[in-house]
Amino acid sequence: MNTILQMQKVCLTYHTTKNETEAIKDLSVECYEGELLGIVGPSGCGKTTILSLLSGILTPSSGQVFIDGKRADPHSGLTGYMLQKDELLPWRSILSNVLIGLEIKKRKTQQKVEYAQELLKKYNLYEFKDFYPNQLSGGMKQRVALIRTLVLEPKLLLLDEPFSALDFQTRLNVVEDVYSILRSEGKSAVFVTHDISEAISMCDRVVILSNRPSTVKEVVDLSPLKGYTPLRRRELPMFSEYFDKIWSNMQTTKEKRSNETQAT
Amino acid sequence: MKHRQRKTAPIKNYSIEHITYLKKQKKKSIVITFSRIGLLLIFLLLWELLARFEVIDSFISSSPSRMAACFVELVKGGDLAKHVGITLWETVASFFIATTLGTLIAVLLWWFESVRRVLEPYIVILNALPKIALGPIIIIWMGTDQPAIITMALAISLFVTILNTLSGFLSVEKSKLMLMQTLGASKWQTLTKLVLPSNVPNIIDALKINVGMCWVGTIMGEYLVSHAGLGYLIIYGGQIFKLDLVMTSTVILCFLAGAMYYLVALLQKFVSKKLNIE
Repeated sequence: MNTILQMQKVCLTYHTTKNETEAIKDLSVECYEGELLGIVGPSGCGKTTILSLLSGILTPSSGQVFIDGKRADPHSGLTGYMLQKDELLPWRSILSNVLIGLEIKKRKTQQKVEYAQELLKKYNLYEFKDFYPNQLSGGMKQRVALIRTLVLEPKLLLLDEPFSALDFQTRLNVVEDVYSILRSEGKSAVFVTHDISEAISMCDRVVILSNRPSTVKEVVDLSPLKGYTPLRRRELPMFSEYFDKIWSNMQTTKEKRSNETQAT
Repeated sequence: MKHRQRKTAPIKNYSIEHITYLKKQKKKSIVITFSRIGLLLIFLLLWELLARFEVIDSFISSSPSRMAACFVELVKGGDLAKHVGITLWETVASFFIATTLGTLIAVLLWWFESVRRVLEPYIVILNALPKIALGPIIIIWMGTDQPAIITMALAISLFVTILNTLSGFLSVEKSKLMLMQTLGASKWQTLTKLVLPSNVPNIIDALKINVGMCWVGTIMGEYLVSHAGLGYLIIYGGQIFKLDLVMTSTVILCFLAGAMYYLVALLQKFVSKKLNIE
């Protein structure tokens, strides 16, 4: 299998005038082509920071990030970032929102516009193409946001808790939709979340992060779940086993922290 | 896949309860419109009657009928068109200059962060300064004609425009800026595709404030230096103790300022609809 993403001993330190914070320390992660890689960790462990590093918006303090063998760069077009909220621009129609990435990258050709329309058709949004975001439900908007990312044909998708802003029921459905879209487009993706069950229901492998400064604590292989959709996975007995495994792992992370604070 | 119901296309067959509700609302809005007009009519009537029966001295309070006579006189003499024209021209000119220049400066300050940080205290102080204090300087530098009046109007409206517009530019959602970053947008693209369009409502609000500010500036300027215009008429009328002229000019001013504000409000409605902003 080809590696699409390589993080080698990545460190990142944030600087403010008052403080410096070591957010990430010696983080080495890989993602293979066609894989859905989950990254879970306690809140505030710098999950979003990792995605910013992967997209090239942030440059690591030390270590290296390679996407498809090239150094991470927001202009490369290799990564596609899906944010927590849909961030659709209210003054643009759905189609025009989907095309904004192409406009910015000056790649808006007839062919690409057709591809965008095809994607909208495929995922049942075409009839809404002239609607405005405020006329769509939260789940639909999130799917539009995914298509906005897919239109750019990135090699690696970066998903930053893309379901956290949705209510529970919509969420289950959208997870199902996004999963099937990613699979049918054969995309590789890094999916960052604090929701363990969401990570198990979507991913092939899950990386558990430690407390800040984040580093890899453990990697859980979910390949026995491959072939099951998110909703089906939730019904499997294996699901709760994996849940317990990851949960207890994250718990020890927390206990360690409380011990440390007691010691100091 | 599931579809939500489209939120457009209202349902035509309302329930009886809803129809009663709609009727009630309509009735209420009619009552309000009539009350508005009624209030003005009662006020004018009372004014006229009190003056007629000499309860108030119409030499210093004027009266609706005297104002009407004064208005006719102004129209006949051909003076009205001249004075209104001059004031209107000054106001509209300063309004356009203040809006364009103010927005342009705000864009520049948004673009160059260091320049913004250097200039910020100066703009805040200039904004806080009572502009009438600049009167003598403006007269000496710009002369005693229209340029001086427009300068005065600009002094009053420009800094407010800059500050309001800039604060709108700076309050664009961080997550939307992040979106532009992840798409690899340049600064120019971020400006034209995100910052400016999302600030259209802000800019229009600034226009609304500017309408008022430019009227203040123009009239103040005319008080200071002019030989013509509504502000001149008011000052002149005051000096010769001709209250009919003062009152008539003030009422005309009310109408003009109201009309200009209304035009901007229309523009706002149009643009909001076009850009799908509530």
